[in-house]
Amino acid sequence: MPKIKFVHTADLHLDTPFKGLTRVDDRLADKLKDATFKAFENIVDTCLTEHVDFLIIAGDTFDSDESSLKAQFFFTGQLGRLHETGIPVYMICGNHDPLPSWSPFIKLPDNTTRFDDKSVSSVTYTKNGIALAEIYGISFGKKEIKENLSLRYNKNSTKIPFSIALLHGTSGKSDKHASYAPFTSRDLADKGFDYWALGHIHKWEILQKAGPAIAYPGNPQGRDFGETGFRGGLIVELETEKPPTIMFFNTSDLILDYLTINIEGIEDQESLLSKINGEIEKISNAYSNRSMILRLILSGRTAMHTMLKDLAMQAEMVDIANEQLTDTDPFCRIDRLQVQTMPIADINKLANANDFTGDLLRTIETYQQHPEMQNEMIDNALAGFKPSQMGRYLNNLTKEEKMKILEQAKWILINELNKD
Amino acid sequence: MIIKNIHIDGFGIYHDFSLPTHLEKGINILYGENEAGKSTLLQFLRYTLFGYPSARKSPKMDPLAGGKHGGRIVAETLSGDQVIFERHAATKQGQIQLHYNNKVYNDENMWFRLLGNANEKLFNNIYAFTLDELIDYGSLNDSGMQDRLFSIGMGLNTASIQEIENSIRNSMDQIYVERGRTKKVNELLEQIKTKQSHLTKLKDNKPLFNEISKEVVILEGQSEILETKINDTHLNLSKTTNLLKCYPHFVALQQIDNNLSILPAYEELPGQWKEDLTTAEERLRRYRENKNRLTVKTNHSRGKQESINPDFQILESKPKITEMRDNLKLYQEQIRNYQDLQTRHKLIGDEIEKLTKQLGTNVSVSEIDETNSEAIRAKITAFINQHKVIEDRNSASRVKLDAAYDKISFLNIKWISITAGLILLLGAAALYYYNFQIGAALIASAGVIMILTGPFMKSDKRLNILQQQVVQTEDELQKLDVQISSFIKNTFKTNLDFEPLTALKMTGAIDQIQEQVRQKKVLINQMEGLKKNIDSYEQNVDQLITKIDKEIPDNVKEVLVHTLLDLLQQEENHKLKKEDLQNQINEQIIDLENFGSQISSTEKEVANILARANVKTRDEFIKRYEQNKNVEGLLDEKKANTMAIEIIFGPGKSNAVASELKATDKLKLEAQSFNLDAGLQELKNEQKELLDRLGGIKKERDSLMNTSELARLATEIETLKENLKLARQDWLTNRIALDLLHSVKNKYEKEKQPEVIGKAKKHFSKITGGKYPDLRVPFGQQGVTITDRHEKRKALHTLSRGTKEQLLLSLRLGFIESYEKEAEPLPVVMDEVLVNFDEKRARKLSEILNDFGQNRQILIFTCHRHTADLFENNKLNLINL
Repeated sequence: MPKIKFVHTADLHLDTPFKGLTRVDDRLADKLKDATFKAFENIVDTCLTEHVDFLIIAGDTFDSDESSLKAQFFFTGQLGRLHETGIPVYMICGNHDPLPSWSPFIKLPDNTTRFDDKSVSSVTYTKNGIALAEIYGISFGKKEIKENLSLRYNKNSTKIPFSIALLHGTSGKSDKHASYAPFTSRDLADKGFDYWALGHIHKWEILQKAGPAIAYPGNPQGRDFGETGFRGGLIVELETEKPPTIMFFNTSDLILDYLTINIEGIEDQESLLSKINGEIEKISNAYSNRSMILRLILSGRTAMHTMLKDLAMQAEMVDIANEQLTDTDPFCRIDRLQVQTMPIADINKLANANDFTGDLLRTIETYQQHPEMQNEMIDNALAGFKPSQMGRYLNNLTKEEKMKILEQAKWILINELNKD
Repeated sequence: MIIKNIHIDGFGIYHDFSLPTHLEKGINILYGENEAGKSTLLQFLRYTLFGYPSARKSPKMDPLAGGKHGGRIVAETLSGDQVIFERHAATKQGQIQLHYNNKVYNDENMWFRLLGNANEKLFNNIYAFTLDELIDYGSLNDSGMQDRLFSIGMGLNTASIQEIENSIRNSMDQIYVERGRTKKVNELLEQIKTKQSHLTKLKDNKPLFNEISKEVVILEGQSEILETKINDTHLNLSKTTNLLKCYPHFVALQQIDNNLSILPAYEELPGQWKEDLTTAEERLRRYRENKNRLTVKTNHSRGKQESINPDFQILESKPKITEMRDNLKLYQEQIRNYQDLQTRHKLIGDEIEKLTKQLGTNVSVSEIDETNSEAIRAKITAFINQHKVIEDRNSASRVKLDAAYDKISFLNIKWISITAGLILLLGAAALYYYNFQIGAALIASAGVIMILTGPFMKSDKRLNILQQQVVQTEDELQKLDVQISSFIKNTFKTNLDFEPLTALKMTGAIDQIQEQVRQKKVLINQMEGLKKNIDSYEQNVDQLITKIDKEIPDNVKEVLVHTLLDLLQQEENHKLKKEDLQNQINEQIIDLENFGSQISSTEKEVANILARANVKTRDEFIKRYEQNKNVEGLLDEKKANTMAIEIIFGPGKSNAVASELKATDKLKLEAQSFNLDAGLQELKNEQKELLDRLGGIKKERDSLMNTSELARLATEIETLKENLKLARQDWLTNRIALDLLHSVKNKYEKEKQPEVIGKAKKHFSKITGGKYPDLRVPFGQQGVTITDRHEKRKALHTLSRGTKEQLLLSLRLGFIESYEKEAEPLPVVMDEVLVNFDEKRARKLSEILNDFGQNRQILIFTCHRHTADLFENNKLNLINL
């Protein structure tokens, strides 16, 4: 029975920055800058060790906004490794790397087919002189394509056993990405292809297991706390008259993730640190000892609640905890602490009192229950914060952020009023 | 709420402790001396009602006398319901149990409702306070005092609104201050700006990269063209160089052909022939050489053999000489013996002479030798015996004569003898007494004999007869002596008178001499025998010497014999050597004959070889071979040269190369090579320049592609942005906190403070006896102003400590009154707060407290008994601790 095996990846975003981190020193910066490269290297390694027939890259290899030459240079270098072993590569360009943004001076090796942006075209994959698969694709020619590109795909009437379509775009109702070649699974279902190799969405997902199989591989390296956990690519095996097998494999040597720790019953800093260490060890095991950057979320009812609500204290805790963690490879860093603990004594007890503190807490509660009042108060306060050029770097505050600010302000006051 | 009693299971010094009497509403004075545990009780109230302090902040008051850490407070609500607050320090916050309305509660909700929702800090600072806590020393200065007054007026504890404001503002200011330069936000913005411009520069590399890449393409094209040119020139040059290399071979080939043309054609001559000849000649040469060598050797042996001539005289005398040698030892011994005998002969002669002299007579040795000494001895002995007999008779006669003389002189001899006999008897008796019976008997017998013989001792009358007998014997003796003397004189022919005994001895000497003479005769016989043997040996030796006719200077016979032996040995050696040489010569003669026959057979062999090669002479044979070898060498050389050309130009190309070389000459080729080489160098230089340039810009391009800090920089910018966002959030949070604080404070000042201050004013005025009738907190200001009765404002610092304490107490009381309008009253607990009050003011205070205690409970801890005196007895519950 004819059979093929290939790796499907997309959204490499080579040489692009990490976002939303708060603690990046020189050592960490050095490690981060290579992370996207390393992830792609891992993909190529997998192609070689798995002896796949070919590699598919479904767009967004690099970010044209970042204008990284190194990204393209490194990319061609890695393709060269596959070329040496005779593994072909089929790729399309996505919204981040539209075809014109590729430098004409960096030549792709001969094993690589980069699809044109004019129309859907196809190439044939042959193995030992036998044509096994036909591969279809179209590249983005510009940053934004509102057209449903999937409609342009039509299968040739050949007797080649497998047909695979490469498509960069947004599926279904994902309105966040709406301006990037939106389509629905239904659009793809009736085209007669065996496998739709999608790109663009950074979370890996199999939209449909068979008839046809439709899948996003996700991006191979998470770069912010919206891209947590294992990231990787897909190993796909197609065999006639059998459902495809699609297997996810991890490619990120550096994992970003949240780590929620219930610290109920913990009452001093030492125990807290040891608890944190223990939990980090667990998650580290779960991630097979890969490097990690973590956001810790502390939860549970604890006597340390009031203390932990202090921002300076949080920063100090992170510093101390980081000092105890390894910063050799694989390393682990805590980026920040989010305190979602509860106090042991009910805060209502304070709010019920007929004293100044009680009045204060009741006032805050009023604001929390009235978003418009809260908005007004925060906007008034924000009028006093006007560093020059700030607007270029900071977005407006979200509703959640405003809630958080008020909550935090409450704890500042409680802490201050209860100082000894 | 009224506390009725407390029960302590274990707390500080207390164990299983209850108050001796119940507490009541109104004033309760708990009196106890120092160290009685008043402060511990106050702590117990605080901890039990509001919880044990969290880690390490305050002493936990562990039970020192045992018991479970904690206890309970039995109280009554205003409505008269009993409530029991029970708390043990099992965990940080303590384990609670609330008994109320026949129910047991384990959570804090009801607990705190019953406490009027007052919090721990409020209770500890407003309701229950010690002298130290009434006014803490840190706040005794003006602004501190102001804060304190204000805070208490607000119902706040130790916290100061002003300090909180300062603290929050400080946090904000560290993040951002309008127009402040060095604040966190500005620093972040500055860093972002710097990195952003760096990033922009990095992104500007792209056009540069494109430009460089274009140039690379152009230069690579030029480089390719140049490469082709270089290759062509290189080919030309290498062909010319190769032709030049082949030129000497070409010349050599021509020369070889010339040489071959005058030589006969190469023929196949068997190498065996030449080899046979060479080996045969070699053998012949060797045989001849051996023969010559042997001839010389043989002649030499012959000469040597002839020169050896052994002495036959000596050789013939070998048995004689051998005999001499064998007898030499005997001869030497005989000579030694002879000499010994000579010595002994002389010694005996001397002995004889000595003995003869000793004899002292004139008798000669030969006469002595003939004397019969035995007969002489017999005669003399007979004389001596006769003399002795006569002498004996003479002596006997003289004894008898002497006895006769003695009898005449001593007549009483009879009595002497009897007396002696008696003494002996006495002695015998004594011996007997001592048991010596035999001795006693003998002595007794002797004694008896003496006694008995004594009377018979009587004198002889024949004295004369005896005298005659003596004279007669003496005459006989005289006659005999004369006879002996004459005999001796005759015998020894001497005039001397020898005693007979002497003469006897002299006969012994004669015996000795005769013995010596006999021995001497024996010696002489022996010596004669030896002498005869010695002489015979020596004669033989002399004869031998004479016979062999050798001059031997020495006459010592031993030396002569040894010399003869040496000569004999020497001549025997000569004889052996001569015989050996003769044998050798005989063998060599046989060898010589052998060589001769080998030589002639080999000569025949050589002749056969030449005949086989069909040549007459050896020279002819050699010449034919040499010529053939010459031809062969030339052919090899030709082959080598052709090969050399073909190595350079390829197999089968030598003829083509030769014809090409015939068409040109060396000079032309050299000129061509020189020109091509120069051209090539020029092209190569050009190429190097081009490649250097290409390499340089490629490197530049690679570095643009390869060393991007883009992601790193962008990540850093993103991180800074995130931190900026957090800073804004942080600043805003603090700002909101500050705004909230202000707004509640304002509200408080407007709505609650006036009432508190109003009530406090009343108390303060009363305590001070109307000295300070007014107390205000101007709105929006954080401070209390005091006015005296002349409406003069009084600065706080001018107040005495006592007055300050009274002011703070007044404010507390004012707050409590105001606070309890909406909540359950709690007991007010004071620990020694009246110490600094003068009696007047203390009384005023007691009046106030009496009033104050109408609706609530007041507990006063004191160690001053007179404190109780301040209150009216009927309104007072005094408890001794």
